[in-house]
Amino acid sequence: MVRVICPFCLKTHDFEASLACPEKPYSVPRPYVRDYDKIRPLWLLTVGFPQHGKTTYLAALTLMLRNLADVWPGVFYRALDNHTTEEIRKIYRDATEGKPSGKTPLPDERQDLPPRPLLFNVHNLPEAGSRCLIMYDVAGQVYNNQEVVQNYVAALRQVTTIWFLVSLTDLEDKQNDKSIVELFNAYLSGMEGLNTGLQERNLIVVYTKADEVQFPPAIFNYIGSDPLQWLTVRDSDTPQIPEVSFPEYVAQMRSVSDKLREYTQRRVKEGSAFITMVEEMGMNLVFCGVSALGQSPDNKSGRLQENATRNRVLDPFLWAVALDMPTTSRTISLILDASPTSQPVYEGTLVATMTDILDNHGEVTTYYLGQQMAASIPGQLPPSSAPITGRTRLIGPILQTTSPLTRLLVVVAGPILDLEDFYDSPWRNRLMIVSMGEENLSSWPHQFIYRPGMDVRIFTTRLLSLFEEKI
Amino acid sequence: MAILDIKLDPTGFPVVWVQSINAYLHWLPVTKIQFEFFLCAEPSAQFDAQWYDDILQLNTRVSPQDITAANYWSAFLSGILPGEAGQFARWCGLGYAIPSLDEWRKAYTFLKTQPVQPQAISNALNQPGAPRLSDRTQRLINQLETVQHRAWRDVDFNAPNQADQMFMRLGVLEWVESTELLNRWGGMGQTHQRFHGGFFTPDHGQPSRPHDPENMRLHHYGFRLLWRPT
Repeated sequence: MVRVICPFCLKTHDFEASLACPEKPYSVPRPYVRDYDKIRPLWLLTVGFPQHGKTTYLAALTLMLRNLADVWPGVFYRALDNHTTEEIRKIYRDATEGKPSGKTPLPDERQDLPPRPLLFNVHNLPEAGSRCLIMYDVAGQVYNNQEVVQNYVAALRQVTTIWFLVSLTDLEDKQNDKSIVELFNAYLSGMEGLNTGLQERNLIVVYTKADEVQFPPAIFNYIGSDPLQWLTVRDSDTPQIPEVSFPEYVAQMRSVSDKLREYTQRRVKEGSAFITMVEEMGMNLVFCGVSALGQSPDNKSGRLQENATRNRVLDPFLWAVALDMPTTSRTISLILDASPTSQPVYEGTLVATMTDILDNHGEVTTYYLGQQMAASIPGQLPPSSAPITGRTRLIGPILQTTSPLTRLLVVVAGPILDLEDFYDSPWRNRLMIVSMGEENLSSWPHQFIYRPGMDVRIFTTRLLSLFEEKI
Repeated sequence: MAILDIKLDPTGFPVVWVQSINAYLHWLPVTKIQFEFFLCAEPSAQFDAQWYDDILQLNTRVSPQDITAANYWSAFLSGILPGEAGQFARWCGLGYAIPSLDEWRKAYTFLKTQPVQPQAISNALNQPGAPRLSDRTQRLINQLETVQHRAWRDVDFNAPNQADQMFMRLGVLEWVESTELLNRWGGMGQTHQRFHGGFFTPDHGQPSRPHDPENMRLHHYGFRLLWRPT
């Protein structure tokens, strides 16, 4: 059984005892808990200024997802709770009436954070399998207020994929006087003070209302020629939905992302600075453009005058899925101190969080230092404490039976007796040590100190980078 | 020069065929690295972290690349009781045993007539189908061989032989068993005097006789195993 994270309080609790979240007045849907290890969660946060088309986009996306089986047979989606069903119904009602959806309500001041997410499973996606979307739709007004945004984003540190929804036409509106850097700074301000690294988080810039932007022809043509644009308008005259290969589609998205990146650098106010900032933070940055309605609504009524086509509305979703796909060829060993003084390793959620993050990047096997037999295999919970009999801090026998393709993250509260045996070996570049405190540091090249409150992602990202190093 | 008949024990360390005892014998006294495989394979309350800490207090640990003529004995496991060595032998599998006094003597008597073979293990394992040493084991063996010549010079071993190459002298005192001994257990071999001073040498033929071998840890006592494949 894997460690299930509650989508409401973002903590773990005993779901066998009760599905009710102890901190929020909601119950965690049973399928969410039951299928957690099979249908991996995909944590999403929307970031965007007011009126930049965020909610309209989400409305279009949910409509597209309902019809995905027409593109990929066997794909279906299912809302996991009444709240999500009602929200989607409301979105759907607005959309079928031809009017853009309204604003996301501002958070209730009395309500504790984080906000309530939409929860739905999308089943049988090509290449990616089934995913559980946990989507936090944060009102655009929040990003106007530094203090509020800090609370929001801080509450959502679990989220690894951010949809950065930006309407370039609204951004260029002189009355607005906003820049893409300001929006990013608003997000950043929420992460500050959390000791939270941004490495490995996915920032998907979604240029909304793309129909209103003068993009270069290559981008314009790509968005305009979406083979799935008629997915939500099905009648006898609409074109057949063609067969779409997921890998080929992602390759196309990547090509357009590169073009949009270049466009952002050259044409978007402070775009170049924005790209530099994001990439220096170590985030994965990609771009896409969408037109949720395929056209602008009528100026006076705000209603659409024709049936809405949806241009490249699935791209942000497919990016999120593609960027969050586990690389199953990676094998990762998490090795935990099990000596009599190893207690600090198991305090807090360090081990569980590391496992959660690494699970998304490969097959994680846990070992106790000084024990050749695995303490947990992929899919199992990692140990929450050291064994009663203290193990000697020895790693050699584990390394000797470990594939050279594996990368190892070792968490220790003291020195490893035989580590020096491997100083001149290729393990130098395959093994990372996280030390609890400043004592007993060695000169191992990949060694870091953990202090309570630090973001574990700093270590896991470094470990994953070892897969890229040439040995 | 004949190629040695070499096999690897469960820890990946070499054992060599010794005709005079009709068995394989560990090429080296059991090293700490070998025993660490046992510790990690079968963690137990008996062989816990504290146990190994105590052992290392008696004879500290050295990494293969740090081995010198002045510390090489730290690569060998010592301070172990014969009963504990027996548990390691059982873990190694059927046919592994602590040699008897008589077996040790016979092996030594034969091996001291054999010449030193430079790179003996590497050459033996360089044959088609031969097992491979791990990099760490290879490094340890190479390093021990390198410093061994210096150690021989230090103590004026002018005509070293294969028994010396296998550290049956200048290694540790090795547990041997005999019903003829008052306390059942004795020690054969010879230590470097910088490790442990004394005059025991296998050339005298008599084992060292500890007072309380089953309970008292002696920092210069280790062991090697023989193996008779079944």
